[in-house]
Amino acid sequence: MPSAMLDNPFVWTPVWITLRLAAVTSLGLLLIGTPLAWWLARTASRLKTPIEALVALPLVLPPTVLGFYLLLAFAPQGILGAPWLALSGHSLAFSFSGLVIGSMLYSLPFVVQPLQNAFEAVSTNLLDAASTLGATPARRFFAVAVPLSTRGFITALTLGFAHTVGEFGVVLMIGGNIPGQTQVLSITIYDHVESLEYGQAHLLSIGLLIFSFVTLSLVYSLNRRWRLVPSGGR
Amino acid sequence: MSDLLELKNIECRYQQHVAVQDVSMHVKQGALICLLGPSGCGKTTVLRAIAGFEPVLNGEIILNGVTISRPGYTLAPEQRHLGMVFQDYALFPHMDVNANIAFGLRNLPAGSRKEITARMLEVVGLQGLGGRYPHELSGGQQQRVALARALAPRPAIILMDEPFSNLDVDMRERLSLEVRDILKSQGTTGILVTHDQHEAFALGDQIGVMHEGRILQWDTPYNLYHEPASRFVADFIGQGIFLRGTLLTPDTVQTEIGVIKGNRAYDWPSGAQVDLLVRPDDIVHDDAAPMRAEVIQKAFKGAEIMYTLRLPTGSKVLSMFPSHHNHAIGEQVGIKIEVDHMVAFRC
Repeated sequence: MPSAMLDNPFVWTPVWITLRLAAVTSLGLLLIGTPLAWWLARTASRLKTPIEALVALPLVLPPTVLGFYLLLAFAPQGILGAPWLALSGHSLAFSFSGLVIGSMLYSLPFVVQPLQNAFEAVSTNLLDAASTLGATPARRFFAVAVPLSTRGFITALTLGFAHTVGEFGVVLMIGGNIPGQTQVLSITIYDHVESLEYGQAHLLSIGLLIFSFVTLSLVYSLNRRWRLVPSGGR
Repeated sequence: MSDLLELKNIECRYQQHVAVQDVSMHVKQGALICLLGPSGCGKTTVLRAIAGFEPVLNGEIILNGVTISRPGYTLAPEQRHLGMVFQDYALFPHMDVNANIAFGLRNLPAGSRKEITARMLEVVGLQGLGGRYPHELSGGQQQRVALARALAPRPAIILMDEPFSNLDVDMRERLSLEVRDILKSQGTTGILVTHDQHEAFALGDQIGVMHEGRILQWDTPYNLYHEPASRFVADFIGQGIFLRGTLLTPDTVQTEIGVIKGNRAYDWPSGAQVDLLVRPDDIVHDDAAPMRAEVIQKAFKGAEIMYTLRLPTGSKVLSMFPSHHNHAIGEQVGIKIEVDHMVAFRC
């Protein structure tokens, strides 16, 4: 029976959607989160604290709250939905693009915080030394800060990916549970349980459980290995 | 010859705290100068202002005739072409020695980059270590790499922030003399910041003594020691104590150890109360001398012993005797006063 289930497209479609969502989300977060984390790590601005709090908000907020406001924003008359509709001709609510935006907000702290920690650990003296050697801000960042923050990047990517795979509440609110479009793994499991299809729920749940465990083990072991390489100034 | 670097009355602040005030200096091509002072005196801030890391709120910094800092304008450090050696060396831990040294040579073709890196390794005496990583080097070696890296792009000036303070004492003295030789041989102008006068004496042709954000005296090491212009400098540089006395004529002072005639005249009225600086080398051991003093403390320094002596009048003085004059604590020794440089401050 399990082999029959593995051939079933109803199993693989949500897996594929979930992986695609997690990949797009974590790459997008890397693009947005890296400059944000770099700024947070180096700034003395008064805006630092409120922005840090804003970034951390998804950690404590019920996903339904985030999802509810996103739903309002994504609506065809909403502040995001209206321009999106005008530009693309499609609705943002209940779409894959909408899911990506929601996931990026939801997983933001999981990417920004490890990056910020890594950037903060890069000694200012190293960056200052680089500037006295003629390095522009871009070269200081790419030749000094980034290679010394490898651990932070690996952690950020993995956590961002894994957290997106595991998301439920926000997707439920803004995704609409459309099979083949926005129905991700966690919601499929929920549906199976609702319909008392425990076999399928088991299969997908075990898969997710193993995936999450392996991912986290990987992060922790990589972090331990990298710690052997000194990253300080002396 | 015009100045390579000029600081005109610069002022720096951290929030409301004034870190540097009214500091001026002239640095000629090839000179080695030191800023010496206790921690918190503002010396590192001056260095960072020259490097372009701190803005100036007043005054001006001029390099090669071009203003690089003035209120509201700070040329970026990467555009100043100044080398800097940091207290913690700040070597890039993810790059080997060669890559560290070549970091500032990016605009050169690979061939000359390699050639310069190899030459710099030779200059600092680290041939063959180009493939090592910073954490595989000793403190002294890291220090040399930091110097080689800073020198490689041929900076107009090399700035050094307490570069020897993480080394043990032996290494510190040896390296500071060596660094002086390296800088002189390359014709590089250097500015060193330190709290250690021995380091400053070993490296600097000219020393500026800083206190509470100001430069109190610019002078040669010899003059700072023998002709301090202020009580702080007298106290901070070298050892010694002050003896209360009365000015008799412009160049003689009556003290409890007799009348001392000096090499300079003070225009204070006769009878003025003064404090006379007595250095350990002003008190000379002489068994035949009528003046006796009691040994109350001694510190063995190798070739010499530094004695703390109590005069019959009760005052204490310091005296450096050759090491073979070994006296026990409590013993009476004969001393005589030989003050070549009379330094007095009015009370």
